[in-house]
Order: sequence, then C-alpha cells, then structure tokens
Amino acid sequence: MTAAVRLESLRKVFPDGTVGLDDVSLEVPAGQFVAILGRSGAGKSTLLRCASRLVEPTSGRSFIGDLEVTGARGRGLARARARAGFVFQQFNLIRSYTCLENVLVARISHNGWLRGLIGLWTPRDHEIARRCLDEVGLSAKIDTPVRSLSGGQQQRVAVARAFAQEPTALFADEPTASLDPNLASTVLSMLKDYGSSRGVPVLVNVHTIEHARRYADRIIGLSAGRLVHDGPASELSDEAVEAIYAAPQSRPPEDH
Amino acid sequence: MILRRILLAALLTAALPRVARAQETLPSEIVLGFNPAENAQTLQRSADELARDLSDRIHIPVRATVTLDYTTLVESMRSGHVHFGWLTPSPLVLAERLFGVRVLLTQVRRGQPTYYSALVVREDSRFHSLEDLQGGSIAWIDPTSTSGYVIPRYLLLQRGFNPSTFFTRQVFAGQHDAAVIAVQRGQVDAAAVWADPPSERTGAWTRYLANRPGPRLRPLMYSPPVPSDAIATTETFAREHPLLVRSVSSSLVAIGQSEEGRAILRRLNSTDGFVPSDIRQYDLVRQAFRATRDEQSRARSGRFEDPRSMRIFGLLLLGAALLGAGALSRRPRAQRWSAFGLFALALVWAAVAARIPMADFIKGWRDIGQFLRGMFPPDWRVVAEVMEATVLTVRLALVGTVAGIPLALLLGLLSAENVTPSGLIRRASRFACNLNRSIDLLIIGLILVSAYGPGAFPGVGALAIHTVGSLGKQFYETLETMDPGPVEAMRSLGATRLQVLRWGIWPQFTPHFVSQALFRFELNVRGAVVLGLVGAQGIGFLLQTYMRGAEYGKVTVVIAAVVILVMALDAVSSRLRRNTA
Repeated sequence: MTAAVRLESLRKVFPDGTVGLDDVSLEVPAGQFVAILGRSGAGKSTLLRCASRLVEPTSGRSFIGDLEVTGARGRGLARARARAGFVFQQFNLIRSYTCLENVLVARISHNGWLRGLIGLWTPRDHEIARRCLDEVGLSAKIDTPVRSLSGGQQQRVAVARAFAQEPTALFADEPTASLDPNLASTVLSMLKDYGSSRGVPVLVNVHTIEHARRYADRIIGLSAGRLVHDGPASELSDEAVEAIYAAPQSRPPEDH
Repeated sequence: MILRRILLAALLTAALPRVARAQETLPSEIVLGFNPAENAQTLQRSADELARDLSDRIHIPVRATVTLDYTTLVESMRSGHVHFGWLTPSPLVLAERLFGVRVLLTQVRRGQPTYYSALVVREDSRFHSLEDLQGGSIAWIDPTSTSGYVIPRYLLLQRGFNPSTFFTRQVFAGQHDAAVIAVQRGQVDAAAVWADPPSERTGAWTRYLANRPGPRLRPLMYSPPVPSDAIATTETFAREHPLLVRSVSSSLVAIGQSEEGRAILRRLNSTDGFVPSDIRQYDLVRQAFRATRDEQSRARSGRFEDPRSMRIFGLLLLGAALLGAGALSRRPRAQRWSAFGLFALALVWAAVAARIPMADFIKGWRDIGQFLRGMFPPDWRVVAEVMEATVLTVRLALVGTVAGIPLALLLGLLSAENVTPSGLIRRASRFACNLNRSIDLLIIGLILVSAYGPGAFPGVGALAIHTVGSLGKQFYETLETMDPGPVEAMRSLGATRLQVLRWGIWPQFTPHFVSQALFRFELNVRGAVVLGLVGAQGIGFLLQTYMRGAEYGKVTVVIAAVVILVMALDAVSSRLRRNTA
C-alpha cells in the first residue's frame, strides 16, 4: 500500500540563509494521526507548508496520495494544494462572512474557475458545507458572521472548511494554540475522528505533549529542521521528549 | 411667445430693405456680455435695465450677463454664448485676433468717443519728465488693461524705453483706484491709469483720491486719444444675422438719444451714448497690443524681482541647504547653527525682496473689517441660486469621484505587493499614482479649463484625474496592510490568484474601500468648491462672481451654504463610515 503522505528529503533554506527544514523524509499511511513536536522555530510549520507548497521547498519531493505536489505548476499547483486540508492557528477565516460562506469557499477546487471566482456554489456544495458545519456542531450558527463567534467556534468553522474541501490529507498547524484546553481537546478529537473514519492521514503540530500522547498514533520530533524522533505515541519516553526540546547541538553558543 | 416672434419677423422683413430680406432665422434670445468695471456692484442691475430697454425695441428677449473677467467675455463670444459684447479696447483687439469681430459702436463719454491714458506721479515728487522715472517703480493695472498697460507701455517702447529695464520694479495693481493709492502712499513712483482730456487734468487720480487725505498726484505724460469701449459681435454672427445686428446697433444708438435710455447708460461706466464705428478706429490699440504682446515674454521674467536679489536669495538658500544637509550628518554644532542662521537670513531676505510692508498688513486688516461689515445683512434673495449651485457642486464631486474610482482601484491593486507579484508592474503603477498626485487639483483644473473652457466638464475631469492618483495610493497602502491569513487559507484551498484576491483580500478591503471612497468624495466636494474659482461650474464660481462684484451680502449666503454643506457631509459620511467599519 502506498503511503497517503510521503516526503522525500524535503529541504528549505530561507532567503536569509536560515535552514528551516534539513533533509526531512517521512511516510504517513492513510488514517494515521501524527503529532509533530518541537521547539518553536524547529521547522514544524515549515514542514506542513512545504508539504502542501504554501511555502516553496528548496529541494526534495512531496506526495499527497499518488500526486506529486512538488511537480505541479500553475492551475495544477492550485489543485495539488487543494488535496491537503489546512487548519491554521489563527483560523484565517473571512471574518465578515457567515459560517456557511466560509465553508462554501472550500468547494472552490471542486468547481470551475469562474464559478469559484463569483461564488456560484452548487446545491451539492451547500449540502456538503451544511453537513460539515453540522459535524463540528455549528448548525445553529450557519448564518452568523464569523467575527461574532468565539475563538473556539471560529476554529471549528475552520475545521469544517477543511472537511468540506474533501481533502486527501489533513494538516493542522498549532490548531489549539489559541484555544483553552477544553476546546483544544474538542478540535483535536474532531480531526482524529475525521481521519480515522475516512482513512485520511492527519498531521498536527502541537505544543502540548499531553495532547500528543492522548490523540496521536505516532509522534515525530523536529529540532533545527531535522527529524530527531519518530515513534508510536505510546512509546514516547521522557528522555525522547527531552531530546526533542533540547537546544540544538549544532547551534553556536549564545552571547553573554 | 412664438406668435410674437413670427409677428416680429414679419415686421422686421417688412421694415427692412428688400435686398436684405433674405432668410434670417432669429435666435430665441440675445445675450449681451459685460465685463466687470469698477462699479460692478450695480453693473448687473444697470445691464439688466439696458437689456430690457433693448428687448422692448427689437422684440426679442435680451439677457445681460456679467462675466468673470475680460478673457471669459471674449471666450464666451467665441463659443457663441454671448452675441454682443461690451468690450474695452484691448480685449476687443484680442477677440479680433482670436476669431474676428465686427465693431458696431463706440461708446461716447463726456461728449467724445475717446479717452486717454496717463502716467501719474506724486505732486511733491522729483519726477518732472519721463526720463526722471528711469530706475523707478510703476504700478500697471493688469495685462489686458488698455489705459493701464497696453497703451502706456507702447508709448514707452515708441520713445525707445524698454519698460522691463526702464523700471526696476513693476506691479499689477488690479484696479485703477489701487494704483493711484499706491502712488499716493509712495509704494510705487508712478502709475498708469485712465484720464480725461489733457486740458482738464483730471482722471483716475482725481476721481479716486477726491475724498482721501494725503499728497495729490499729477499727470506726467498723456497718451494720444484712445477710442472708448466698443459694442461688438463676432464676424460669424454679423454675417448670419445682418438684419438683427443692424437693428440692435440702431436701437442702442436710439437708446442713447432717449431721455430714460441716457439715464441707464449713465450708470454703465458714465456712458453718454454710442456712435457708429468700425475696427479701424482701434488701430492705435491694435498696434499697441501687438507691440506689448511681443515684448511681454521678456518683461515677464523681470516683473517682480530684480535678478540680483534673486541670485543672492538663491545662494543663501543653497548655502543653508548644504549646511543643513551637513547638520543632518552629525556635524559640529557651529555648522548646524550657521545653517540655521543662513536660513533665517534667507527668510528675512525673502520678506524684504517680496516687499511686504507692515503698514499694508495693518491696512489689509482694516479692509477685512470693512468686508465683514459688508457681509451683513446677508442678501437672502440669492438663496435659490446658491442652492442650485451647491447641488451642482455636489453632483460634480459625485460624478468626478465615481469616474475616478475604477482606475484608482486598478492602480491600487497593481501597486499592492500582496496582489501583484511583478515588481516591475508595481513600480510602474506606483509611479503613475505619484505622478498624478504630484499635480495639484487646481492645476489640473486650470489646464482643463483652458482646454475646454469654463463649465462642468473641467471640474468633473479634474476631480476624476485627481481621484485616480490620490485614491490609488490610499488603496494600495491599505491593501498591503490586509491580514495575510485568509490569503494563505485561500491558497491552501486551491484558489487561483484572482480567486485569492476575491475571497482572501476583497472581503477585508471592502469596508476600507467604502470609507476611503466616501472620504474622497467629501474632499472632492471641497475641491469642487475651490475649482469654481478657476472657472469650473458650481458654487465656487458663484462665490467668485459675487466677490468680484463686491456683493458681500451674497457672499455671506454662499459661505453659509458651503459651511452647511461641508458640515452635513462630514456628519453623513462619518456615520456611514462607522457603519461599514
């Protein structure tokens, strides 16, 4: 069976010379829930963004399903990006639009260009959007503008949006960092349920080890852009955690 | 009305010689154009009376219009809005040059169809001949004034003096009374003004200084007789309406011969009547006009400043700028202070060179006091007219703003970094915005007014052009502050560039767009008011007309309207903007 997400030697060097990703290879099978741990700046966000090419990797290849994302161009690139549903830390919703409208735009890659441009959604799009909002428990808020929702509700709209996209993979970049712990659990379990019920791989950057242990099937650790840990969540030892969060060895001593 | 016109046409054809009984369609209305004289306050009223009298005689509606200035009158004749113009000699010659005029009549004053120009100096001055004035200063009236500029300059040129070098300083006083007052005060050595026949030794200096204490003035040099004002029409109109023109001409002569007609004419620049005339009577003015036009370009550079003081001022400023630049690069304190000193010196020099006397400043304040007293009581009779002009101004601003928005939006989008990836396009588009912005609204207005003539189009055009640059810049600056989050989300959803713009940026931008466009509209209303001053239509034009006519009571109404308009707009637009935010 082919892996649902496969990264081959992904490398990202930013224009200022910072190495964001250093030769990361990874295979995630369908339905697996992967938690990515690491200090801030370790390359967690860069990993997800390079995998879906929101950020252009310097070298290496990324596959989502059987499609090589790194090989796509132009309109094809837009389609390739659409394969990965993305949930952001700051929700990134259209704040002045209603929940329904925010979820409907996820259907953009399933429609013709002009339809997507002017927002002429099909009845099927509406049906899917409503179902996804229902799935995150927001059926009552369909016509409410996003700006008047709480943070937790907004993140649930963002999750519904990612679901409505009908993605081949789900990426979530610190989806819980702006939420209180209860809401964080809700969002994470929604992502997990979606992944396991539909056989979609889920990659989530988290900052709490407790959440990673509770929800993830597998935990990987990044440090200074390198993959420093990869193993089942149940086997994550305290030493491994320490290694992941330790100051990178390659780093020069700090000034004093 | 129509019946009366048919009757009239029948009468005219019956009354006039058989040869001239060709087909002549009559205009529905005749417009007489006047330019503002010194007693402009009553000019419109007297002009209306004359129009009524003339209308009674020729049985066609006649309307009198007082234009902003000579140039407007000439242009209105050219465009056919004014059929008969009461023109002073120089504008007449200008009109002849521009489109060809037919002179019908010459004005008679004090029993003569001529008047004079004189150079006057102070009684107690050391100037006794023209030569004595060499190196002195002079006040002209304005560049289209016959007795106050064209003729006296021509006489100087004829005597071998180039006015630009003969005098060290020349100013335009604007009005004859201002010119003689400037001489009386010793601000200038001499002035060129109108005069009665030399034997009487009277003129502007005796008329306007009669009730003013202080030194008297005396004439230093007289011109030959200059033909008085002309009643003229365009060559085209004269050809198309020979009967009508002849009828107007003879009626005006007849008005001057009737008792009550004479009373009306008296109030129109002390006119006694008219005598038939033609363009040849104005040969002296034609020659003078040609001569002064030719030397005008040279004269212009030396009008207000002598080159020496310009050069010194320039050097001082340059020195200060250099030292100032040094000061910014952390130079020693001594240099910083000397830069400051040089700049202060340049400022004093500028004030001295511009000759801003304190006494005038204080006198000016007194004049403002007079002006303010003249403003009350307000002349409410013009309310309807003012309201109409106000609505027109708002309409101009609205159309101008709306017309400018599409291009402003396009430039805004093309200039914004988060919308347009190509740096080259961005730079080109920003350059276009900045170039456009660097030209002031009034300057655009002036250019358009001179190209299209006064009216609504130059106002709308200037506002639209101005809107493109200023709003375009505001748009891209705002666009670049938009939250990149939704943009990234749209990209992750598989949106193309235009789709990202539609969903990721546009919803965020809409409230800013609305509020900035509204604010621009508000600014454009104010701009439209000011544009009226350069000849675009609207309330500014009305303001200028009343100001020139010294109708301060009406000015009050205009100012009140502007204040109410601006306040109302501010209230409405701030509420709207609060609602969209």
